[in-house]
Amino acid sequence: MSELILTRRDLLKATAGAAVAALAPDILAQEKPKRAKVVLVRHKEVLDAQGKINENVLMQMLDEAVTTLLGVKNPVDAWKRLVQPTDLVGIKSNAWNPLPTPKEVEQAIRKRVMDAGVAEDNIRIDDRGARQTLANCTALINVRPVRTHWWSGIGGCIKNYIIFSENPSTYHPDACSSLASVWDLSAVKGKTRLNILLALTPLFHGRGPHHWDPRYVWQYKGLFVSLDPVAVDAMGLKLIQAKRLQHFGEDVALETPPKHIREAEVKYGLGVSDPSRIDLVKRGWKEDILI
Amino acid sequence: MCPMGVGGAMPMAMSSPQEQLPLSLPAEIGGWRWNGKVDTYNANTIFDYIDGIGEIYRAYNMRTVWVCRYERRGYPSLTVDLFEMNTPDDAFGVFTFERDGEDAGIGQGSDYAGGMLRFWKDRYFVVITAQEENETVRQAILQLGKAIARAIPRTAPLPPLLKALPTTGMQRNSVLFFRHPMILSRHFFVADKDVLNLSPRTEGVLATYQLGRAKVRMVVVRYPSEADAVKAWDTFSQAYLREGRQKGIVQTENRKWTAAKRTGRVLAIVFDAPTRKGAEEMLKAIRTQEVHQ
Repeated sequence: MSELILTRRDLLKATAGAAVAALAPDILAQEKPKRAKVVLVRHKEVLDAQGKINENVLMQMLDEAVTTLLGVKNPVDAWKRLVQPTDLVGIKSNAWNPLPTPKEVEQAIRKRVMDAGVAEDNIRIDDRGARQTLANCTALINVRPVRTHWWSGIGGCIKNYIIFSENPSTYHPDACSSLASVWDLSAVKGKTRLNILLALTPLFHGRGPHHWDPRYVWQYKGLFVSLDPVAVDAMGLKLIQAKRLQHFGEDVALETPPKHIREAEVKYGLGVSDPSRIDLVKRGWKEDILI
Repeated sequence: MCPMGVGGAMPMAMSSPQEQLPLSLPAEIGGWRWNGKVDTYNANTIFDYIDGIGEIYRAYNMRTVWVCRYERRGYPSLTVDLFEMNTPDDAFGVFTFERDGEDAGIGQGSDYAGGMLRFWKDRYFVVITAQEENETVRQAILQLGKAIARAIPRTAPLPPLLKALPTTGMQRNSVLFFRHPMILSRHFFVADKDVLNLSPRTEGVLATYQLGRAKVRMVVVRYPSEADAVKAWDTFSQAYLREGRQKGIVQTENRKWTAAKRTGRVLAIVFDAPTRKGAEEMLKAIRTQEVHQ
């Protein structure tokens, strides 16, 4: 076996700094001054005890997130910066049955896109059929809940576009490290206007065939928005890791290292993955904010 | 498909052989009724059902999974995933992949936690899940699990390779049965390449032992042929034992000891023993002679 093999011994040998260097030589070799902005908005009243969404509060949160992100006072004006009346807008949702993108969120986005001047007939919402239904869109709004994921560590905005690929399982090797390459597909490239990573009820640990366990879901009542899909996922990861530390009482590693987030920056240049270069702006409810 | 009635058994025969369940499941349990539908997936279509996690079941040679749902107004539905694996060893193996919760005393091995029951019996691995849990749901899941376990007519012996593992000091529920390097790596990372020459026809067990304050791992792999075991020894000793290759023992970078031996078509390894003597004694305690034939 002449190929380079990384064994447990090599990991044991490495100091923490050396391990980081070994895993990410490219990012350390060059300065990357690029920064990203992520807005986190939380509201205590967005969910009731049964998890039902208060649609008015949700809209307030979305408005505050988008206006803060773009530095615009009026939410409709902010959305007019994201989409044009001539756009065919695709809202790329997520239909994973245990924790889908809520219909209330989809409708709130649809309303603001219409407020920005896009005709209702020019707005499409889909997940599983996106490769057909959203391929011709000129603008995409990427929205899904954050959760742990068996193959990629976490499921976030980067991964939400995997369905645009003809064969999603080809991205499974090496902890889905090449996921960001999906963003180069013609149906997607350059079209994303906003990334919304929902943290209303994140899943921070999964079990079984469906990677689901209600014991590991909590009402965080937040949402992240960013123009940068990598940065928003990096913040989602930070939240999931903070919750695991709080819950398990120790730093329990994710079942799969979320390599795809770092690779999205280092290899594919899709955005900013380093939390030290992400400006996280927090608005709203602060209790148990964790990050 | 018509249920035979409350509490009765429903014949599973379907017009399409692909949708034919191998067992009779109850039509009703504790107020939940089967909705009369069955979804069927095989190793090639599993990703249509459970995304990337399907790789786990493929790594244990799954043949088919039948999916049934039980519903009750005002309560979460119960989903039954009935996996038929290639062998009982595979069913046992996929059960050991992810242990969590209390022993429910169902089938040949089970656990229950958070609205999820997992058990295995013969070549079947069964998972029953509810998206939300309360005591009524818990009782229904357990009743349904018992009914399905009763419907599986046979039991199977445990994988013979388990006989190689000493029981003294073994941590409870720490045994993993595996065939695929991905499965081993999820529990104990050895290398990023398949240095143990694993395949769907190999059998492997991993177990954790408490030796004082140290956690020691034992890995035993049985290969289809001695030639396969020799090849595994070559790749493992070159990549991992390195300077200790000739003697079969090495002090690794964490100042602990790894020792290995090959007996016929069986390879045995002790990882992370606190002393050289401890590694040698634990390696000696692995009963390779009993399982190498």
